[in-house]
Amino acid sequence: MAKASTIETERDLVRRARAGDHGAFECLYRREVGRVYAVCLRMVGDPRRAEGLTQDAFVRAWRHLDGFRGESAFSTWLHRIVVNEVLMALRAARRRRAHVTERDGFPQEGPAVRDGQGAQAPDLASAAPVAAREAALDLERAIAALPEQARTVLVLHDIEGYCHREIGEMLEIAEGTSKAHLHHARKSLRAMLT
Amino acid sequence: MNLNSHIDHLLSDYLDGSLAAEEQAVVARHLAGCPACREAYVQQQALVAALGALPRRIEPPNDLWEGIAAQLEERAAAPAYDLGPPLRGAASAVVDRPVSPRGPSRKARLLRAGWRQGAAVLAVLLIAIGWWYLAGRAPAWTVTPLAGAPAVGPHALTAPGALRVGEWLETDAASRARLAVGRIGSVELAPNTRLRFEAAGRGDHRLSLARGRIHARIDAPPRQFFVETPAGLAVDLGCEYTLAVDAGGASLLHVRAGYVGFSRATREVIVPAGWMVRARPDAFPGTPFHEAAPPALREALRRFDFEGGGAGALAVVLAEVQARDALTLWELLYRTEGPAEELVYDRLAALVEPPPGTTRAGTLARRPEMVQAWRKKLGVDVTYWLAYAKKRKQATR
Repeated sequence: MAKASTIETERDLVRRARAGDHGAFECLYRREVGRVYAVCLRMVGDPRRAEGLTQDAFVRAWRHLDGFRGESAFSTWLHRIVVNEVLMALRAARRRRAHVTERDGFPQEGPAVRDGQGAQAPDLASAAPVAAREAALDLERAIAALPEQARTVLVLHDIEGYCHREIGEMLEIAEGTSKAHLHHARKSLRAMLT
Repeated sequence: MNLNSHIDHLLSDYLDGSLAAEEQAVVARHLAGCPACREAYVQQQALVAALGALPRRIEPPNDLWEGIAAQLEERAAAPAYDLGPPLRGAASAVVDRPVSPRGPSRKARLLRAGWRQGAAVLAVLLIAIGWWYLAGRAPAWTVTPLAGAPAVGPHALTAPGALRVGEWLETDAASRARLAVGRIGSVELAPNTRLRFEAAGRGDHRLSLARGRIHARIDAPPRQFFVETPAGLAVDLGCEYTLAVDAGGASLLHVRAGYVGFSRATREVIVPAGWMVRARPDAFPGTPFHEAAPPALREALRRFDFEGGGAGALAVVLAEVQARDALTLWELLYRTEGPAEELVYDRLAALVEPPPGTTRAGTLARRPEMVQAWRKKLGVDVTYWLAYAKKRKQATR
């Protein structure tokens, strides 16, 4: 029953936010920001950029609140907006650096990548047990060190739970390409952490 | 291309169950006879489990709300879709395109407004089409009454029926039901249970349990099946378990086989077979305890985890634990500090011989290799693939 009341509260907050109530939208922000920031951080691998994308995603969600029909949880709807926001930003960044040769391959297993020093790791909350936190930090660093496409597919598939068909549509790539990226991403992670 | 590399590139798809049945069988046969590929597969499985165990939430280092609120204010001050008077200077800074000092012509404003309205309608339409598409593809899971007449929404079932995304399945005091979880397993609902079908898709089979008790049996790679409760999220890591939620939203998880992760915010407890954990809506998950733990130990842990039992409760725990409860002590190391933490370690070391290469000071300082050695010894190294990988790395130096 508690779950049902949570859903009611969320619906109420969305209704109030759609009517222009910033306080209600702030409540939704407080509830969801951890999830949104985590997605942004893992997909771009840069805390400052992730903060900007988190802000942009919430502003976009505010603008499109009227499009939320309540047929799913608000968090599910918001999540798709966040992923789209990040993907748009990644595409824009690719266009900006179009004159630079795109790194299509996978990381060379140099010392920096092997040790995860070449990438920034998310600042996981200190509440997690130390051993788990250290292992998770190793893994987060390794994820951040993956090439962009491989990282994107891995995060969407293995952490966020999208299937290859959905990923293919979002990234505008073939389903098979998505599978190939996932295979190489997992293989690279195993190599980095060995 | 040798046989190992041939199989290696199929491991991801094999693990995800996305190979054709024939290919799946070929890979399974190969794995049965090839230790190298089996080792790679175990690493792959463990990697996917570890990815699934990463926290779903990470709080940003800074509060971002002020920056967001400023943009909401700006939008409120700038009626971007307004067909009325020309935009004033103060508002012009926040519309999509700069406004000329004299303001755009009425025709230009109407055209722009038309485009904006069109874009807004299109965005809403695309979102609606997206939801329609997703909803239309949402499969139904089969509900089989085992006793009485369980209800799907307002409809009582006396024969097998369907449960669709968004619908509630409820049993009363006289009914029980079995719910097929796609093709990866099943969930049995005890009497007086209420759950909702949240999502279905390859890689995401999700229920929320509002109250009652379920018994889940899942035969799938880790992190395919999730049960939300008011106190946290149960993440299947390949297992069988029961999960109960009482009227106040408190949960009790009992793992029968494999592992289950139970998480809330950034804290996740990994619960192996034969272990249980409590959770409450207003707190992080409690300390796991063995299914054979005596009532006095369970009660002391409850007071320690949820009622600020402190040193008194801890003293009872330390007095009651036996060797089989070592994991409880290990988890308590992370919930205590200073002298209390040292007492916990000393009790643990008295019950279980410390792994070779570990020391008291090093373990208390959380030296990674010692922590991993302990977790491996205690059988809760779900990041065992990391430990395994590091061990291999050390061995090849």
